[in-house]
Amino acid sequence: MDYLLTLPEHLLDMTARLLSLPDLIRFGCVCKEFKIICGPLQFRNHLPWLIVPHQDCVINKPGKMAFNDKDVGFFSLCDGKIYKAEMPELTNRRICGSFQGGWLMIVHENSEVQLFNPFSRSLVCLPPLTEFPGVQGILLREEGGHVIGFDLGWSCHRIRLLVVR
Amino acid sequence: MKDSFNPSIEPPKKTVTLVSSDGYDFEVEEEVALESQVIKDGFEDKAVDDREYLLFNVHSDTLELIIKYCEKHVSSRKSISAAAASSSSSNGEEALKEWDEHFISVDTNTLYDILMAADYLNIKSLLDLAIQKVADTIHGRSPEQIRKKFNIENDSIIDPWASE
Repeated sequence: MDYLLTLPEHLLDMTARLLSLPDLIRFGCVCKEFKIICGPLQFRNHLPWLIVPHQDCVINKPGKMAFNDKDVGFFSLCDGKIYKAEMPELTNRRICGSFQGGWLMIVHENSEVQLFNPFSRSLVCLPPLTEFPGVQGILLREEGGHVIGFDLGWSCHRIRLLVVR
Repeated sequence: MKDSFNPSIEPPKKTVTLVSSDGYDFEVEEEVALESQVIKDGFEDKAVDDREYLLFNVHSDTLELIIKYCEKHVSSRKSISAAAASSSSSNGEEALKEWDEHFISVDTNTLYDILMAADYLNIKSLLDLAIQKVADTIHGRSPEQIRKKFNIENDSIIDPWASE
């Protein structure tokens, strides 16, 4: 019998609150019911995880980092371990920024911009760069026949997104 | 009145009857039963000869364990505070912690029953102990190992996380 599954939600919640982030993420992967409990707790009082290159997943160019593989490494500060996760959503994309709640802003060389949450695996497609309000122009930056980035001109701001293959 | 002539004899302890879900009576001392916040709430309003509690959610096997836990904690608290009053050194708290650790080292089903009973009776220290035990059991285990340990069927959730 699935004893743990039949525990009332408040007891599962009390249990999940005692778990470290690595334990919490694994516990959330056990079943959908646990995922719902663990999701909101992942960003409370836990040390953040750092995204680190996983072996063979980064193109070997100095100063440039993009994922050409679905495996991503996450370095956990609390136990000093690197956790490997399969994230096909990151393939051939560059992470341009991270936001509260674990959201990553990722950009593809075809100028597709997305918000991706590696914990909930939610993916939000943002409008194409050209459709951002106030954008006056986009300058493609190419190198050796590849797009390496976009310069977006606003009236008073300038934003640069880099894509690396 | 005769007690006053012989103070070495303690007055008879007041007792409470707890009835398990399968119909067994457990007579326990009042202070032991009062470890449960649920029993404590409104205890004074209940007539002295009506201090019987039907615990519909607690089986006799579990109730026996719960009573054992409460008795131990009541007696330990007394000896700890007695030691503190006489300012003699005591490792009472340390010993109680060890006792707790041993008490909660049970199989998964028993742990589940204790957890549910501690929640139902609102015995905070026991609930905390049992919840911590569940958390300790989860610690360091992969999702698959947790499923196996707690007998949970895989409902094919995407499981991208693996430790190196």
